[in-house]
Amino acid sequence: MSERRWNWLVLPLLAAFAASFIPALLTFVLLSFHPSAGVAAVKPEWTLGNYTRVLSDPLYLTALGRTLLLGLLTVLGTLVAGFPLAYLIVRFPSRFALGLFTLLYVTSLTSIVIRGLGWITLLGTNGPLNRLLVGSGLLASPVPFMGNVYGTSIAMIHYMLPFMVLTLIPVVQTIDPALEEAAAGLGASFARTARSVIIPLALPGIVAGSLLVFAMTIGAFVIPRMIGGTTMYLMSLLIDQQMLTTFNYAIGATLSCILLVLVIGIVASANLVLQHGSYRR
Amino acid sequence: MDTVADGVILATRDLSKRYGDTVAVAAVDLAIEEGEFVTLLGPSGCGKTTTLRLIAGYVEPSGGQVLLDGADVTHAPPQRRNMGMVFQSYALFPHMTVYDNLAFALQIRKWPREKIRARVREMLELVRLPQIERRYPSQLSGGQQQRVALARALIFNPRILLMDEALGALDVKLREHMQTEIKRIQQQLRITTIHVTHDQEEALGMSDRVVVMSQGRIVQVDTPKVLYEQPRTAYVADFVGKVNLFRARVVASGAGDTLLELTDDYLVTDVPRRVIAARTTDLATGTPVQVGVRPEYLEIRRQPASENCVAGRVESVKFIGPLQYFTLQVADDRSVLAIDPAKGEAAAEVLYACWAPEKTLVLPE
Repeated sequence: MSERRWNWLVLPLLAAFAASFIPALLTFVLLSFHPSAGVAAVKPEWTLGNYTRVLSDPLYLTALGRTLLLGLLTVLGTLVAGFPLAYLIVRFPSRFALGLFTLLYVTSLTSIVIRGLGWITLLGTNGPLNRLLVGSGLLASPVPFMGNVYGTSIAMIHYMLPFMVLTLIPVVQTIDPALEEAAAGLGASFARTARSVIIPLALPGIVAGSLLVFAMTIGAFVIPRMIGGTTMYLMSLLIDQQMLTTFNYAIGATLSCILLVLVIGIVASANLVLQHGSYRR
Repeated sequence: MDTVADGVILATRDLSKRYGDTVAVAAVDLAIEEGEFVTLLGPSGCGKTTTLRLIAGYVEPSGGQVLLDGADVTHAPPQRRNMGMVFQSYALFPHMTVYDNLAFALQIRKWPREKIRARVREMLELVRLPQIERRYPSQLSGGQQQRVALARALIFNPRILLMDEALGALDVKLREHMQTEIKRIQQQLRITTIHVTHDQEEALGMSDRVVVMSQGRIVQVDTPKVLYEQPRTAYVADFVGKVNLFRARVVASGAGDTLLELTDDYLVTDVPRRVIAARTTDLATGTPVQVGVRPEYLEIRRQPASENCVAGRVESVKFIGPLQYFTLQVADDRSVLAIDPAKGEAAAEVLYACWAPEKTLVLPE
């Protein structure tokens, strides 16, 4: 089929997309530029006051910082745990690796609330994790995992791991095993091979997986609420509060736009970096 | 454990590899000498590539040993075997320039930057690709990639060079050119080389010795000339060159020659079944054997001789310039190929193909 016919086929999809997504997007973008008029309403005049208020208020700024930190920690955690996992699954497709993969996949089908509850049990001050850390002598006293970004990131890493691994597997599959053998024959240890050959070639997948995990994490709601509690503020939780509790649509929309711009900015710059290096392949 | 003989760089002792019930390699004993160019030759699945990978360290053997300069490296990882390998797909790092590909091994060995630069230039000169340092593998032709792969394998002065069907991906003309190039480089560096191929012309043309393999085992190891003139089995005779095979029986075996008799049924019956082989075989009377004659030693005649002849109906005559390929049907299901300069025989219905006793090969059943 020629290129032009393909374009026509996409039209219905684009139309559906445009009809549902664009108006919603436009609505809250527009809302953010009007001052609040009390419960679930905005005044007709335009203003930048919402943005100045949000971006100068330490409450919102720490929430923003905390959101980015959660995203970063989760990305790092899923990479550190996920890359070796993906590599094992691809390079050693034994029943063991297949079992690992199935385990991962099945976990991802479990309800997020149930998984959240599981983590609440595990992360408590007297929970199994703390008892292991203190009991084995690694820590002097238990660390508070609940109610902060660190415990939340642990549970988020668990939740996001399948996404990272599933994104990495196809990319690792494209790496010719002969390249690793060649590196070994030239004298490279496995660590050196990983650093010089495997990771650079897997970079597109690493970036794609990281972006996916990051974007999903900074919009995440359930786990941060369950683990972080009501005192840990993240952008997503604040947006929920503004829209559904305080009914301050103006601020809610503003926060949403800031979040949106953030995600777009990070994705766009990552893609730029990727394209710059991709001509070598 | 006894030591290896002097001059032997690489030895394998009873090397074997099994995958479950399948035997990939069995009882492989090799002794490769300094500076030799040895080829492992055989069809796909004969175990030649597995043997090479066992030597290189990419596969753990099920049994046996690999000895490099007398030291047991059987379980050493490839990193520590100091062997340079050229893969069939070249395996050049696609995200690195030619320079970085070549410098890789030296950077691992912590060579100073200036020495690396000089050595990379030196290797590119050696493979006759002086200006391509900054290019990426995807920007090179197949022949260029191959030469870079060769340079990369040699740059750190390995003890042996291993090549796994390295010429497989090239077209015929380039292949022949590279065969000459590789041989030139090998001789210039005097580096011991083990080459794997299924192309018997390549093996014969480049090697000091050839190891013919079949079904995981070594069948014969000899110089190309000896392999061609004195194949030990019908398999070798047929794999290295072409051969016509006839079932026969030993009639008498003496000093200097052997008398045999052809045992199969043939279409043309007025041909004597006597065969004389001008070699001592020491086989008992009645032993079943195969008599082999290479096509180029068959002379086409209109009348049979008193021995060493077969006859057949002319199936086809192919004219190839100075020579003709005669295919004669000697039995219901058998044909014989004769390559002979004879002209003007195409009109005949039945022709005789005869050969000299010195060219008779006596091979096991």
